[in-house]
Amino acid sequence: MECYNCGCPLSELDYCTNCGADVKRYKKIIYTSNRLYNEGLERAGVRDMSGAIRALRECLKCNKSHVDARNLLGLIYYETGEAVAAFVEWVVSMNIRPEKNVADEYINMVQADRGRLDTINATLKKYNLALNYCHQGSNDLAVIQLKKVLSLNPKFAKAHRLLALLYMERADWDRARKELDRCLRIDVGDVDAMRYLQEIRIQTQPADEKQGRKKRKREETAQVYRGSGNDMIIQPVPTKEPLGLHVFLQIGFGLLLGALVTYFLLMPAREAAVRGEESEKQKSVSEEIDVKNVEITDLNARIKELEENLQQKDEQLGEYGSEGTTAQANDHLEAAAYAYLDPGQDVLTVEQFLGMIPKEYVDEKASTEFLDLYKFLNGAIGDSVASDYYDSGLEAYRQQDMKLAAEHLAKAWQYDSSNSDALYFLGMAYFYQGDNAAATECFEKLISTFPDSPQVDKAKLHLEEMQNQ
Amino acid sequence: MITFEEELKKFHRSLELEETESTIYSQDNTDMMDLFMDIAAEKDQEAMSDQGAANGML
Repeated sequence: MECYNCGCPLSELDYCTNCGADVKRYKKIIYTSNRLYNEGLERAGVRDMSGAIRALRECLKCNKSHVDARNLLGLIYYETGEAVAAFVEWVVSMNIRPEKNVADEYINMVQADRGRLDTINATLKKYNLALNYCHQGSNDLAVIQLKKVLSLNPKFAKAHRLLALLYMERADWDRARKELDRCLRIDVGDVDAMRYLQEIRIQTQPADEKQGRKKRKREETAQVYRGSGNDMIIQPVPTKEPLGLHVFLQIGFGLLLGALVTYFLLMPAREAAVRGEESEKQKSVSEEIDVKNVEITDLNARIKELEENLQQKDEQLGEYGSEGTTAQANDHLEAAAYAYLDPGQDVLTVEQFLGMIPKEYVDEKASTEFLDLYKFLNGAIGDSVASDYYDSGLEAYRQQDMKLAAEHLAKAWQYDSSNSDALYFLGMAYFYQGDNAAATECFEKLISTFPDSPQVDKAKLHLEEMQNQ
Repeated sequence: MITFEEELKKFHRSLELEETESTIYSQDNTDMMDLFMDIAAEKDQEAMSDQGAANGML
């Protein structure tokens, strides 16, 4: 403790040893403020928030610079939902001691969570609004507002108490009691809340007590009879009646009555309920079936539509295909004609292009103009091609490349069907390849078509040879 | 017996965030220490004036 006059540390004496100032009362004030702070701290420790607030306020009246008391007071306000009041105390505390003050941390903590701060402020506004509603007589609106407040900030003790008061005004004692219990959990020393609870007890007890009293009286009158003078007859406590025939009859009648009630009242209702449930189920099932039927119809229509589309596409594709074939055939024919006209290209090239034109197209689909050109080109190159293929076929035959020989000789025979040698060597090429059927066909054709050919005898020998195999 | 209206008077509106500054400035911060200092200052002044009067008489 320091002297208020010179700031020198004080001793146990009632005056300052430095300046001589009288510090007796000063010390008393400091001691009182410290005692009140301790009391506030103790009360806060047992959650007697109201008592702690009173003590700390007294402490600050003695010594407004008691930083610890102010910080604790702020904390208690914050705990009971009065965040702004807490904020005020901490700001003042920071003003008194700007350095090394825990209030700084509290303020930072509150300010850091901006959302929380906004929520707290909103609850305070709603509480004030609810209080206005109360003053205006709109208690229902006030209850709604207070419920909102408490859903946002359940520690707002004052709101619990006000809500309890509103419930008490409606004589809704149970709810009021619950709110007061919650309030007292936050602040065990809330005298008003205790008073309200006491009032609820008074309001709810008398009926029970009266009933209890009446019951006791009845019991007494049932047991004790006062006669004249000092006579007193004590009635024994009624015991169970002995079992007799009428008891069984009563039980039987009761059972019968119960069965009748079940049969006539409960069973029809039960049956109706079951029937109702079944009809509901049937209804829902039939609805589902209807829905499914509609879906099936839609899907069928869709399938039909898609099939039609598919058919159309197929047709279009076929048209495109035939168009493609026609175009290709035309291209090949044009290429063949160009190769025929070009002196730089030989007749085999012309023949190759003509060979690329499908035979089915020539036989079935080709136009007259196409056929004319095709036949002309075939005729124009026919002799030359036949000669070329015959030469190359014989060369291959000599080289014993029977596959190539057969291929070329077949072409030579195709373009010049008067060349019996081409037919004979074609048959021989097939013979050496082991294709006896093709060879036989060639030899038989040679014998029948060119009976005077010098190759006929050889052909006959080979036929015999093949037959012997 | 509790009267609703009477009890309602005991409830006061809570401070809102916007009122923080005005509340801090409007607080009456006079404490017993201030009173004590005033009294001590007055006493000192009286003592000084008495001393001055005594000196004048002399």
